[in-house]
Amino acid sequence: MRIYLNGVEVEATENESVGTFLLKRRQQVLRKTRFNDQPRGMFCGIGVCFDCIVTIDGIANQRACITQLRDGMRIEVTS
Amino acid sequence: MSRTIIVGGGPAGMSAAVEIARAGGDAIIIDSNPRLGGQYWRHGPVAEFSYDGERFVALQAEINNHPSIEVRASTQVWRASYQDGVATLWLNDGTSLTGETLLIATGAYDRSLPFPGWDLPGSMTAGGAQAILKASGALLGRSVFVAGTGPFLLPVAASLVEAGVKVLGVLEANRVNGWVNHLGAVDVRKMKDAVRYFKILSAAKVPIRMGYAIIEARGDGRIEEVVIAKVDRNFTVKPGTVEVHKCDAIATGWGFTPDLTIAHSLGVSTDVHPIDRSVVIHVDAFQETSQYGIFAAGESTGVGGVDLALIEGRIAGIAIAVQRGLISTVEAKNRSVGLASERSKIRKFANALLSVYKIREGWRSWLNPETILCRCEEVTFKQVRNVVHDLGASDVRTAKLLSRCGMGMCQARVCGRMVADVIGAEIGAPATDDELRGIHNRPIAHPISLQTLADQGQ
Repeated sequence: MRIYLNGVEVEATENESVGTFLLKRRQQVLRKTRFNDQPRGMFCGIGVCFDCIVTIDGIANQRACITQLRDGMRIEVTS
Repeated sequence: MSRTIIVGGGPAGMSAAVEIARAGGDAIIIDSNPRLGGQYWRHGPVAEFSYDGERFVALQAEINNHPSIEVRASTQVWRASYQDGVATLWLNDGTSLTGETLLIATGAYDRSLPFPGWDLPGSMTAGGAQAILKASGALLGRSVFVAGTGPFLLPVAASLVEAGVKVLGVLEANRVNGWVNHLGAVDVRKMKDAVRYFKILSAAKVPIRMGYAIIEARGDGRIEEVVIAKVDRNFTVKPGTVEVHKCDAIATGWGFTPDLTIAHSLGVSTDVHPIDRSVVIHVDAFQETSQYGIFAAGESTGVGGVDLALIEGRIAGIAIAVQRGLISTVEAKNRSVGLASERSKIRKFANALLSVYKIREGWRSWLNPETILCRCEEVTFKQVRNVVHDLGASDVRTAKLLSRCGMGMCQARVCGRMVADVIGAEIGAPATDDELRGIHNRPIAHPISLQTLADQGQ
């Protein structure tokens, strides 16, 4: 399947979360914080901490760790 | 209405569902994960486990074979209520469920302690590092330290080694003497587990250092090195023991926090655990809570591991079958032989572990004024101190409102307890039981879209 990472088309395997998919591409940094512009990545890995939030299909603040990849998905990360 | 709602498809929820179905009842399991198994049996599309997978495979097969059990995966409960003997759950797919019988099997998540740099990318919880590995073989880094306290650090380090990660050290902050003997006292399985982990770690020449902690992580935009140090029995850094090591990730864990969000919304009574002061659901001998028809099993009633969760789930499932009139109390006794004594044996052992692997107060000495305590709202240690000393906050809630600590998206799941402890120390009076309970009050359990809200309001 194909997904769009910051607008760029990339191949992906199914049955994986957005978070682990990005980590395997060595994308440790997923966003910058609101106040101090500090980099953040996955922390709890199980949907508890909201540190790995990214924009998916235009909707902000989606947890990368518990969102499964879908064909055609558009993911925006800030690094 | 006669169907039992089970919130959480981990070991406790699965074993309860099976007992209910065996008695001829119906159950629906709701889980936010795409697959059954919970954190312990988290797995990818194929149910493959390096260890202890047989029990999962057997439970899953029985669940699949019972048409009376429905599994609704990838589904989150965003709101729960209990009124006039009926529980209602609102789900993120826009639907809701009601039932007179409900089992809370929501499990637990890692308890975290802050230190300078714990918010850098590359810093994960021990459970998180394990979860991403189990679910998809993802690695948090290539050369890592595993640190914190508790027996859980060993399986995490062992599975990272097996996955090809260079584990530079396992740092256990407590000094633990003879804990393997404790384990042996409970059952052979635990003993075998421990031996297996030690074998894997020693074959990979991973140093296990007792009385050590990560006190700082540093790097430009991601973890590049960590500062580790020897700590005393109170977790205070021993002068002259500081070492700096290169690494690209760390996994830290300090035990677990029971997930009580749904329980709190259902209004069940809770206890503050006498050993670690974690808030746990109060249950009777049949795993029933203070609310009639609402049961609880597994880590949400007190952290005790997979074996305890499985037994509590079975006891709850059998008790639910009796309450629903599916089996007689005599039949229930036949089905419960040995369960209660096994439960108390494991719980006793779990409490012994909690005492050994306690979080000691000296951890606060690792903080510097700029250390982030609340990751969501980026509130620093200095800011929390200021609301106590300059603005006169004299209780946890006021300090939280003035500093915004714990008011971000995670709703204090990560920092709530630790901030309560910091504030308590600054005020000079530890957080009260009710203040600790208040941390778990989250009327909206998970964020939902306005569309979902509007749809369900109709």
